[in-house]
Amino acid sequence: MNIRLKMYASLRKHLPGTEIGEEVKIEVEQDSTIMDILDRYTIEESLAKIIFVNGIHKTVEYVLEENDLLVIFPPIGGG
Amino acid sequence: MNYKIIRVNVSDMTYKREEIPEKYKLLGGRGLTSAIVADEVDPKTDPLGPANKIVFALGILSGTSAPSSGRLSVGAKSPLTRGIKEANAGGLTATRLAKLGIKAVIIEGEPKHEDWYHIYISKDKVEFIKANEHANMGLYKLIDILWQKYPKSGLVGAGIAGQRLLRNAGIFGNNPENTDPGRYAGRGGLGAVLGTKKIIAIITDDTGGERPKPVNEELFKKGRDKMVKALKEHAITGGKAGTDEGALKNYGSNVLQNIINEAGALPTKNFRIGYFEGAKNISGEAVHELVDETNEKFGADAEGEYGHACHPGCIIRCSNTVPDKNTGKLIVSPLEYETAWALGTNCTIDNLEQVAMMNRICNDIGIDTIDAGNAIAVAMEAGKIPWGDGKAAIEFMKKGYDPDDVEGTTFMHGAKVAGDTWGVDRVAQVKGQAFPAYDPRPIRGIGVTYATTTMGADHTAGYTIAPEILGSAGGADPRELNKADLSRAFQSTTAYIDQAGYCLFIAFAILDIAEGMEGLEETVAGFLGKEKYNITEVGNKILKIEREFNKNAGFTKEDDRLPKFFREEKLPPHNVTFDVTDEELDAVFEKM
Repeated sequence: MNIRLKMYASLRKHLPGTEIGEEVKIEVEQDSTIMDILDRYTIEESLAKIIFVNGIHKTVEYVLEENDLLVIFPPIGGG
Repeated sequence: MNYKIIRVNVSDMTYKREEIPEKYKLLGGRGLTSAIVADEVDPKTDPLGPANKIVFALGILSGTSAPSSGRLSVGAKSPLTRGIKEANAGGLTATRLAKLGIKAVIIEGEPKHEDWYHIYISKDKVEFIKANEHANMGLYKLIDILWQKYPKSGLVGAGIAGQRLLRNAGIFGNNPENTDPGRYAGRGGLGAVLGTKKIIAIITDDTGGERPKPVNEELFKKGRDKMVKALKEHAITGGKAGTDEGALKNYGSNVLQNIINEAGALPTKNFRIGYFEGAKNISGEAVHELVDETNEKFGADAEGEYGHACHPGCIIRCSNTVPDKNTGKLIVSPLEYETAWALGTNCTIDNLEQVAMMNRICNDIGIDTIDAGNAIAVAMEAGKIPWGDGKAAIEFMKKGYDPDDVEGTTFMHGAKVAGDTWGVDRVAQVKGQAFPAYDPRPIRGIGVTYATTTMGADHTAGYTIAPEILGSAGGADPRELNKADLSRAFQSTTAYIDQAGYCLFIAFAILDIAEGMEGLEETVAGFLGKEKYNITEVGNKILKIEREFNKNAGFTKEDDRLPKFFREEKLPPHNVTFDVTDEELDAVFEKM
């Protein structure tokens, strides 16, 4: 199945050649979790501090569904 | 350290150097400004009248070796909210005053003259300098002129808007390099209060001064080391500019633009939608890229920067300089998240250069960027500027330079006055102060803070975004409706941090690292020579003083409410309303 993926700030280097906020379509196996995606990009779990699926916070155990928008941020703060 | 208070009376242009009364000895920053305003200003007085006073106070630790502690608080009765106000900023003045042994400057009285003055403060004297030639002057030019005569001085004061007594006038401050007047204690119209005293700038020269010494050096140092370690270790406050590590040093506060957008909570088009397609173009990441590009292209002539310190001794260094892409020269420093959101996203403008230029105009004429952005959105509602038209917005803002231009003047009063004048009901404000960059419908805790803080809608007063979105302190569900305890805890801790003179951003580190939290209390207790200086107790005390002032100014529960449309109108993309009950809002202070 396909999901959509975005990574921001220091994590964007894992999606080389993309613009800021650019969505990448990737093919994943059925029942993949967010942890599987982190493994695929060799991202340490502690660096995937804030994870949204379709705009809602999720943890790494979440099982992805077709066409989900997965957005990953490293630890960030500001405001 | 035997600090003094400088009390300036503009009725007869005199000053006194006063001992600090016993009851103020353990106070600083917001704790001190709010205590003095509460004790000396009648809550019912006209904020632009002769009985209001403006107080500048450094934090307890400002000027010491405690990291990121050089903030200056400014307080008065607010012309914008008509309640008590404290706004704080970095810059040079707090650490300069600290070295002169001056804890606070109080300006009071009613000028009997038409002249404008600067106040010059140095080791041995306080002088009044006639400054009519500097009235109605843009602030980039003014700080440049003042540094030629008073090099390295700390500068704070009232710009064009403050001199014209307009309600969105901030207190400007020069940055450490004096390249920008953008270190603003911006909110609540404090610049207008200084304007009523016919004062343009306070110039602080710390030549011959000494760094303040802690009473209990050992405890202070123990706490300081813990705080330094926490700030360096934490992924948000630590790291290094130009590397993969350190969110604030690389992307600044504006790293929030994309994340709040992805959460569906970025107020777009005057709070109609929670998502803005163009947000990425004006985000902290975009500024980072522009700085890298222009630095490469223009080499030594390039002025773009991230990882910039807003005051001496800051190790978080979240500030930046936005360069012109064609020359590499400074457009504005800094461009913060709230500003990029207010002037950009909220007006659907996604051109970074235009947003930076809008920020520059605000800095030059002396107004708060958050209320300014909301006021421009109101002008767009009224059909005066097309949505998303940055060029037209810039031209509109320039009307502010002309004292005879009615629209420009209305704009500089802030969003509430603009809405009332132009017949626009849709103004996101509480107690007359416009909302910052988080829609309270999908993030309920921040809505509780907007509604209940003594300051009018203000995110810094109780920044629940840290747990609700950023996962600090174990995280909190943003949709949860019981947020009184969370907001109260953040409001109280914030008051303590503001009083200490620390930058609020230390919170990101100390909420996650227990030793850092110990360092907060130990640095303050060590400096003051106390065994303990309890965070919640002291924070609550400040909030109670402010709350009491507002009550006596005439505020009731009904003033602790968000505008109706936040309850009635669903915010896309999550289609949620602000559903926190009034009882829950009231519980913030009732259960304190």
